[in-house]
Amino acid sequence: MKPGFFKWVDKLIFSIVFAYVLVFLGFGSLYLYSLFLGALNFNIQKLFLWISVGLSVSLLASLCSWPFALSLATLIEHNRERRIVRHILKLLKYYSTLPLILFVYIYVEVIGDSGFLTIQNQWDQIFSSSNFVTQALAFAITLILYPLTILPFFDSKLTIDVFFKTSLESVIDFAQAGLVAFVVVLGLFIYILPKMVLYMERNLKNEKSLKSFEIIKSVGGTPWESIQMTVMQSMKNSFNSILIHFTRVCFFEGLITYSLLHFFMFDNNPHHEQWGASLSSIFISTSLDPNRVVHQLMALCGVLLITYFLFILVEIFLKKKEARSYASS
Amino acid sequence: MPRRDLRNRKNYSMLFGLYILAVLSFISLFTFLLVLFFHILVNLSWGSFIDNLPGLGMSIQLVLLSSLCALPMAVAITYLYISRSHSKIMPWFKTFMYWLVQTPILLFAVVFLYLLNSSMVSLIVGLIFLATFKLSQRWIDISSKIRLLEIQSMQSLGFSRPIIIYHLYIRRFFKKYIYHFLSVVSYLLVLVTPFLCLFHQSIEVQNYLSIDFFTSIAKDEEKTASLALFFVILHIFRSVLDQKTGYYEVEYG
Repeated sequence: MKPGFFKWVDKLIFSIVFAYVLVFLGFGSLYLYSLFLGALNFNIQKLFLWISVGLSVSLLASLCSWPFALSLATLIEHNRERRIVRHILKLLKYYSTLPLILFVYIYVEVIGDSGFLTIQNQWDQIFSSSNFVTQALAFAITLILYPLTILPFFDSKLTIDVFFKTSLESVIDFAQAGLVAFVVVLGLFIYILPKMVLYMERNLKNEKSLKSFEIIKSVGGTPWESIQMTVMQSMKNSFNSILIHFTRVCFFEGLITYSLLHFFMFDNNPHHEQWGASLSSIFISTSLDPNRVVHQLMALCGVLLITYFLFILVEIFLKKKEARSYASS
Repeated sequence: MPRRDLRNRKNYSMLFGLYILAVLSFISLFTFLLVLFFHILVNLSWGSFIDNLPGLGMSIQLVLLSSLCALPMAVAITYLYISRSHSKIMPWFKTFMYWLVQTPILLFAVVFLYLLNSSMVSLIVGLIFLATFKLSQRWIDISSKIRLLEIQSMQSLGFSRPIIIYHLYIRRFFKKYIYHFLSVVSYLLVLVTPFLCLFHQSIEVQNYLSIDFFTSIAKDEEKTASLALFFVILHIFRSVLDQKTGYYEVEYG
């Protein structure tokens, strides 16, 4: 064939792809337009509450899973030659790609019915009334916070008895939200742990810390010293980016999925109503009015999209910063 | 006791603690998987599984059709990336693809379902877009492994760009391309289809995909277990394919 033919094909492909991307961006701009329409009817305060609660829970889950993931990554990295570790790695890879829908199924259907109901019963027994535990907590809060009432903007007539009773009521109220947060954090922890292990393990492999580990060992360093100087050092540098990355994963994959449960899992099931309704109420019911659900859902998704891109930008910035610090060291 | 020994003892106890933590986390993950399989085995009814196969079959048909439609466009995008990989805009393009693929599924679902009035066309268009970006991002990833030196040496020998691309990319990775395609199909089936089905308001789509099956799963243990088994089989299939290609979507599984 003539070379001119290939050039013609090349140009054709270029224009088709260009048109395709334009069509996609067209959909995107339409979406943004309707998003602003939806946002006009949106309650910003509730949205702010939804996002701030979601982000704090996600951050907490990332922080909780960090030491566990680090230990597992270290164990894998330093015993890579062993056959059992290779199998563990395969299992982790399988686990890390477990579809969200399957994960939600097992978390809600299997563990939720039995495990969390037991936890909830225990939790209610401990926190739902005025007993030794709640009184002790309220006493501790009073002990710490009551001296603040001497500040001018506090009501000077607030006696210590009234303050204690208010604290007790707050402890009982807060405990209900605490159960929901605990359940969500536990779910997110299990969801991101294998992903985090593989992420850390890949970071370690990329930075060739294994060679430094061997060198430190050969000059007489103890195993702990070598881990401290290789793995810990590397993880210290990448702590921020790991935390941001997995907070994003938790928020955008985990919490959104839990929110979706409201649509298809909690229909008329008394077991789910007990703990599941409160679980989803933070994320859905308080922010979405059923009468304007389409507009509000779109506005919510738009804000989520903007938050998502902000996360990505921060992540890129942190990664570049880490790469610079690693190169300079 | 000498100071060195004291320090060593502390060091070893820290190391021991780290290992204990690792074993504990592994056991908890392993138990989670075991519970999943055990629950499916206990609750599974083959009758229910077979009864609902037509609904699942329709999903497979729809996703396969969308992925096939996405195939030429994914090939074109990959070709464009390879042929212009030296230009300054391509790293930005790659980053754009990466962002797009990582966008949460919920956002995709809302765009294509609420914006386009929940029609059957919107579902197919959404799936085509998603499959295109997913496939091209994967192929761009594996194409990046080709060395610039190889391309330059072939160029110096006077080969034209399409010939170079055919020899260096298409012939070399042909089998992998098929595995990637199948992996993306199974990804769409496992992850996207339930989301799209659950959100869909259109009656024609509901009839086509047997939406009742998806929406009533929570009320029936047998149905739930059979659906979970279907997803587990697909997930194993996808993991095997990804292992063959050496590609794991750790960050956006």
